[in-house]
Amino acid sequence: AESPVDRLMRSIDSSKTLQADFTQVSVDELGSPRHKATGVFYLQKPGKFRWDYAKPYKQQVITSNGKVWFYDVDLEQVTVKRMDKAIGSTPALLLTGQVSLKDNFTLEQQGEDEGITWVKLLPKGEESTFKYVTIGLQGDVLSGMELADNFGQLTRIYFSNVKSGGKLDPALFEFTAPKGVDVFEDQ
Amino acid sequence: CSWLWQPDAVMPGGAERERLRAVSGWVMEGRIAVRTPEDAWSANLEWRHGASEDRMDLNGPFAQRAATIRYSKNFISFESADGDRAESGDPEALLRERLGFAVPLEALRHWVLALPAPDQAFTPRRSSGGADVSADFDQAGWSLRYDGFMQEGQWTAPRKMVIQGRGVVLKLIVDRWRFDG
Repeated sequence: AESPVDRLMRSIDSSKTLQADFTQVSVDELGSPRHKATGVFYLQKPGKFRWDYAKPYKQQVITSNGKVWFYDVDLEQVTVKRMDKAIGSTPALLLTGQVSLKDNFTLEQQGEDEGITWVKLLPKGEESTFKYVTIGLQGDVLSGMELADNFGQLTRIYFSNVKSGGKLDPALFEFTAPKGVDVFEDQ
Repeated sequence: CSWLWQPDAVMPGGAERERLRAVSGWVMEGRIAVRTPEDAWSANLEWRHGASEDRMDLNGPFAQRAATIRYSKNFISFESADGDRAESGDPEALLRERLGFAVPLEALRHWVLALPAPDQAFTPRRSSGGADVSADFDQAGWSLRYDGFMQEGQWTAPRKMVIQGRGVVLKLIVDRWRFDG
């Protein structure tokens, strides 16, 4: 039978587009839950990714042609960074297939529970900005993610209403700054 | 979740703002946008103020820690996600080196509560009406503008502020205050 690692690779390579609702919960180094945020996530391969936080406040992370736009609606500020420079752009990098998993990570099977098979990705590089990412698949469908940063903080992301293969409006991945919002791009 | 919603409050008068000086410790969760002549970035900020130390965690969008700063009177330590660590007896020098801008942290502790730093001159800004209806003031070459307050128990503290000086603009939005004692 197909190993979980191969299934993960196939699943990430196969679905051309993906859309899902997400709930993100962060847990601090002492294990106490810190923040909960919810929103919608869109993915269009190759390389296009959009992560809309709706609650508790509106933030957008949009990735397209190698750049990451980060927009905080209340702060009225947009920063545009190269994807490899953008701290915390990990999920985008992994899910859009921009980064070859086998070249950059050691992949470990983490077994299956609640019908979800988990694969842990440990970065091979030294100065990685995170410790590991674990991706959970239900069948071929993305179900969960866990990101562990180098400070011992964990972020768990639970996906629901996952739709893959549908047509996504290209405008989702083009960022146009609303009036009065400052945009800053790295030179 | 409900704890995030702290009701808006009317701008407190000077005396009421001064009461905040008695608070020994607090935690502020919010977001900061930084603009310097060379760079701009924003982060989610969690600032824990205690009697002996301040700890500021800067997180990226997926709640991944980007950096942690620990500060006390004349000592600062900085640690970033990619393992860069530094300590110094000159907080402003280290901030300038690592974050690209320097702000007097000793004063900032008070500014975020809409309070001028003690034992330093400051100039309250009269709003156009001339009456003391504004909490804004200038101090040590920085201008402090407060755009909304929120209630947390018996305390009233800023919800949105712009701190500007030396070519640097800090915009801070507070999502939640928690005060000790």
